[in-house]
Amino acid sequence: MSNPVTKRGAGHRRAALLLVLVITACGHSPDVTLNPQPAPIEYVPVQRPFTGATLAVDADTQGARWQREHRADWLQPITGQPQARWLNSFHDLAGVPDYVASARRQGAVPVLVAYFIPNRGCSRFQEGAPYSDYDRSPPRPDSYAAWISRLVHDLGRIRSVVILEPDAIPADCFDDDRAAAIRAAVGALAAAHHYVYIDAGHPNWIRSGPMAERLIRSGVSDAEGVSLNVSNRYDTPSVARFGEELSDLIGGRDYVVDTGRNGFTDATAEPAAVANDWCNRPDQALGRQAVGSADPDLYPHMAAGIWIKPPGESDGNRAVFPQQDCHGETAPPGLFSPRQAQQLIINDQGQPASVRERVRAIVAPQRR
Amino acid sequence: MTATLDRAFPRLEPQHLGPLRTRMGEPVGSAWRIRWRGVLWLLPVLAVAALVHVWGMANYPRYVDDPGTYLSQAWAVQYEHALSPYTYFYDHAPGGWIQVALWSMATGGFDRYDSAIAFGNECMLLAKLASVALLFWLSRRLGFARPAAAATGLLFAMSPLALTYTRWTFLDNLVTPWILLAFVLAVSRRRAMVGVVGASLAFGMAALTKETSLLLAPAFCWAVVQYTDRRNRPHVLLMSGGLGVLLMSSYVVYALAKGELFEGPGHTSLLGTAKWQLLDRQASGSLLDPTSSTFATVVEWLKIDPYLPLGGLAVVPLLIFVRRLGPPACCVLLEMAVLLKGGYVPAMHVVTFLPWCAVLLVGAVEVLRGNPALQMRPRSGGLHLPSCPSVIRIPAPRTADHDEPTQPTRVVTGGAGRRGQLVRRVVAALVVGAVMVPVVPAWRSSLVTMTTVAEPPELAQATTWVADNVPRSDVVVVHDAIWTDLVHHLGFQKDNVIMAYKLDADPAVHDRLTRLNYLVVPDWYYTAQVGKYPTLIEARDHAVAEARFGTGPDAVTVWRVSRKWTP
Amino acid sequence: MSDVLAVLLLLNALFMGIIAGTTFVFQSYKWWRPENSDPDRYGIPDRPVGRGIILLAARFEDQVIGQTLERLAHLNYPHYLVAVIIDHPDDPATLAVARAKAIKYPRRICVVRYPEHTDVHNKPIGLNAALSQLEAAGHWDWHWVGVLDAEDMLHPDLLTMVDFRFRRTGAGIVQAGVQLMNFSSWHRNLPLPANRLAERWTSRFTARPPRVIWLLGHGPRLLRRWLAANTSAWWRAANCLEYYKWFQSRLKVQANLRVIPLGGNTVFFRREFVDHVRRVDAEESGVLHGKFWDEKCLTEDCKIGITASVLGYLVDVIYIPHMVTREETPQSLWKFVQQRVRWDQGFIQVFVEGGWRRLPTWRQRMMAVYILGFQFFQAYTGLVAPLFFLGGLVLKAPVLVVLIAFVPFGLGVIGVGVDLLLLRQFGQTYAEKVRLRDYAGLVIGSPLFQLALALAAVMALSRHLRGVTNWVKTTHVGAHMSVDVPRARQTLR
Repeated sequence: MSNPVTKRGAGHRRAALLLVLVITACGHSPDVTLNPQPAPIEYVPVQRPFTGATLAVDADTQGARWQREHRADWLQPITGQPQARWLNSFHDLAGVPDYVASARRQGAVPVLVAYFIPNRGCSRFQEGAPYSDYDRSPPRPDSYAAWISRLVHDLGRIRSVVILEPDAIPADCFDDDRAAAIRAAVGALAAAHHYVYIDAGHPNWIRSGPMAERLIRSGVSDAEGVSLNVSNRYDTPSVARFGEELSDLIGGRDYVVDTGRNGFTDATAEPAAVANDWCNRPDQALGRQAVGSADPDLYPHMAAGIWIKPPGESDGNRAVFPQQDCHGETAPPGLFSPRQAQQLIINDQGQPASVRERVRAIVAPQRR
Repeated sequence: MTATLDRAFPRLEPQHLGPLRTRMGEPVGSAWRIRWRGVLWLLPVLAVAALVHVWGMANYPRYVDDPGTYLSQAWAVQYEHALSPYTYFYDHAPGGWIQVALWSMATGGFDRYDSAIAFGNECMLLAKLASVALLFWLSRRLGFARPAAAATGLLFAMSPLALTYTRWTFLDNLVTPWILLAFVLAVSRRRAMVGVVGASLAFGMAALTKETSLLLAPAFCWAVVQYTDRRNRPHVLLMSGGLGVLLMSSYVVYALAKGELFEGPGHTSLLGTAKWQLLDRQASGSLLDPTSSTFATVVEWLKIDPYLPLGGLAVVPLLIFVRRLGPPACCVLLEMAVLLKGGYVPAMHVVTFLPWCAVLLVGAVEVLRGNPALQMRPRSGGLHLPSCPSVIRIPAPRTADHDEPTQPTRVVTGGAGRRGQLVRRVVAALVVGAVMVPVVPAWRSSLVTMTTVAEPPELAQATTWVADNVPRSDVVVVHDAIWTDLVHHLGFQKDNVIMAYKLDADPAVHDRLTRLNYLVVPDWYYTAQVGKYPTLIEARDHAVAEARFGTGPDAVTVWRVSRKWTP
Repeated sequence: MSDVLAVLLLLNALFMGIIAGTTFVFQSYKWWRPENSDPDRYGIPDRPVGRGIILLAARFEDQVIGQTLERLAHLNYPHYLVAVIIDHPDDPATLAVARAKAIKYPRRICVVRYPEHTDVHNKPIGLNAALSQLEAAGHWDWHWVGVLDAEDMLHPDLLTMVDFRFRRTGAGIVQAGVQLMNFSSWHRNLPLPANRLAERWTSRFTARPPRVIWLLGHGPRLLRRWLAANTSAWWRAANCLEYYKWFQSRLKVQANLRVIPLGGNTVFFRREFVDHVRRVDAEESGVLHGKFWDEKCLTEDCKIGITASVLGYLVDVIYIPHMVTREETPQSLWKFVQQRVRWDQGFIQVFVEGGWRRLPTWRQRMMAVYILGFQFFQAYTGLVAPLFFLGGLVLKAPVLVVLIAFVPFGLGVIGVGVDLLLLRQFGQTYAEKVRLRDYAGLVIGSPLFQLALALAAVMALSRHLRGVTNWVKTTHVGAHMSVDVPRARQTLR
């Protein structure tokens, strides 16, 4: 029923305008001055570094060290797999050149996680914040920029994947300063031809709209994409749905999914309960690691499912989460928990039954 | 007595075969002759009214919800033969937008402008000019002098408050001409049935245009009774009342024929909506309660122009006792009663209030200067103006007091003679002058603002952006004001353009919703009361801002919703 | 197909709407403007001037003719002559009464013969014969001629008013108001039905029988009368109101539009007009002296009205409540239908003859079609409009069709309301008590009355198509005479 634009009759219009024009010399149609804010965003094309790539296996993860120290071969299902290298401090930058060199030797893509944003735990103004030790942030944003430029320098000429600042953007304390810091970091890394994936939390945190807006403020237009589910345990389809939704809002960027511990399959568990259980639930399992999309038709923008948070590293114990049961976990957050590693392997349906049986037979190692 | 001289039975001559009416001394068509002196006074008033109205009407006032709704419904009448592009739920009687649609059908209204709002503005201009002309006519029939009648029209045309609200495409602005026509026809001195029937039908049209005009029914009935003659009053009242009710009940019959008169599951209903409007809708409170939204609305009005409404109200106690000004004063009182009672009072309520204020203000000056037609206490026997001659006056009609022309010499307080007249006129002139001292500068500055807003409305800018950037197959949620433009001019499918409030208000829309692509509504939608637009707000949580026009709550942000999100 | 149907339905609704609307416009002329119902609108007559002849065709009217002639002999008017037309060999009873009166009032009443050469008995033949005989007898010095029915109790001052109106308006015809009176459900207004058995039984008592015995014999008669009164009031009231509307409003509009079928009695023709009609008839039929009224027409009154309009004569209609000629409604609903059949058929005749096509203006010809067909249009609309609307509602017709069908229906409803108001005014004007059941009967009976009108229309059409043209005469009982007139006059004075 609607008239196409071309059908507008100029003659009619002129005739009817007469009345108005006779009375006033002004035309009727407004002189529409376009001043849209914000200005349209220019997105760089995505380069898809994961396509056909192999990922670097890091021999210097906590799990690998523990395996070497304790001759724990049964950890091979974890330590034999590529995992991201986390950079949580100035100190951590020291290992970067070795890691990069190792990756170069393997002919693989190194994956690093930059986790050093100022006010990382959002506790700057909180009295008696529990994570004060964990939250070793550089005092000023400009030192973060320095850290990033050192990172760029240490990475050298190899093109790496950088997962930028898990939880920094969805966090409550996200503000313009943080956006500026991340934008600068993205700019610096992208200028050095690294593939930047800004962390965008998980499906159950910030809605895609506000998240996209924060990402845009944080320079996602220059990044390769976003990372999702880092250190979380949401199943890949849920994450990918969110990722697709988000991707459409940020110029079709790709996303990587942390599949380290999302093999969890207990359908009877409450998703919210699982999400809020930060104490190494005994029923979680390793997830599948693969470059490319889990389902290219459904999730065309999924770049890869990789292990970002090294499986086996503890989320916390009763010391940090006194209000939670913590399932008897004793390893403090960030440290390798063989007990958890064992459970991850046992629960992983993808492991051969013999492997799972063998691991199950091991006396559960506890870390003090 | 000529008859006594000529005693022969007259022969029938050929000249006797003329028209019977003239032979019998009946007036032929005298009621509708054009009174050129009145026209000479009216034309400049109309020119001024048109000038003030048109100058800057595209950019002031800014877009609000209702005009777009009514225009979309007019569009639906013309192009879809339905009363609304969505499920019609009897929120208002459909007469108003049917009239707009008829005008559009006759003139291709929606094709003539880039925006439906501009076409609505044209309709409002026509309604305004009709209102001003009818106001002039009504004033004349009430007995005002020609300059006074012209002043009545000018007051209505120039009041910033009237200008603001008559520029918006509101049903109330279409009601005004009908109500004024009803009163014009009702106060006819011929007291003919056709006039009263016409008045009644006009009143019925007003009610069909917007049912709130029924509020003025008591004042209208008063006017009708005042201006009907004892000799034909029962018939005139029955016929006019019957035909008026007949016209109005067509709305009920429409609902009845659709099976939507009574409440029932799965369909809207006239009575259900009426019940909601009258009983369940949240009242906006009484004017006497300073926290009520009615109070806030009235404050908004008075900020734009306090002089016309307050002035009109101030003279009511005086004029209610002037016989001819009683019904207009009654109109003002009824409108006030609504404000005090504390029902639901939308902001456009003021539209039907202001013409009567104009009549009363000028009427007060007329009374003051001693207009003989406007006496405080009329002599028994009715109207004090010569009526048309009765059919037969020959040979010697018995004196019928209601028919006799009376000499209009008496004045209100009996100030006899030419000196008294002169004094009264001087006093009236002084009063008018004194009133104009504050009013003229205040109105002048308001009118300058209202005629010189250069920035086009944010929604108009957003529409242009949509035209340039949004694929035509996308589903767009819009503010009512631009719905028609997207559908009619920009080539969007009707079902793909959704008025924001219909998302949740219309189950049919909600049910067929599979995707949303763009949100083009002013920002205040997202801060409106909680739970009013849940789907809209939910959609925005999955969207990014693509463009933004203007500032403040009226700013329009174009949100692009993620394609992968389903509502 | 459904489109065609919809268009037909719309046209039908439109037609009915026009009929209902114009019915309103026509029937409310009196209240168009206050001046139209001004008590003085006809003026105060001066001293009468013209000489008049009153024609009175009587056939088997021996019961009422005496009373009528007595009244006619004493009219308050200087120059007039009453000519009673009676078929001498056929109707000796009436003839005897009339002769007696003629002898008693030789300067006022004379008896003329109904022509012997024909077996057909109708009014126009009688009227023509009367005028011819008066001419032959030398009574040819008159200014106007009036036509009365045998039971018409003329108001003594009416002729003065007619004479005044002739001179004042220059009209060729003055139609004076006729009003049916017996609208009421009040049983005493009706005569007792005959009951031979009871009469024979009570007649055994030489003296007045005891009350109980009288009631035993006559009780059923009283009951029958009571029942008849209460079950016939609905159509009597509607019939009375028809006259009330016709003479006060409808005929006046038609007179103004200059297309007017006249009433059959208390109508007065100017000499010039009567001569003109005869001249035209002579020219058309080629005889030396033409006829005045059309002898073959069932409604000669309608025809002569159209003729007047064709010839350009004005018609003045006067309806002054205390001067109207009072008549009674037909005896029964069936008689009423028969009477209406005759009228309807007469209108068909006039229409088919096509004299109206000679009306001078296009507008008049259109009005003629409307007016001649009105009885049929009205019957159709009255019957179909409610069915159409209610049927549309029930059968879920398109909304637009229902809305348009609502117009004639709604107008019909208002029409009933107007009728109620008119009945009240009627009661006030003639000082008749209007009872609640009269109002109720009017409301309830209105669809039935439409049904009766429709039946008459169909019968008339069928008679016309079958070529049946005999005269169905209305009989007169005189119910209005003894009771109504004196009382009404008393109150109106």
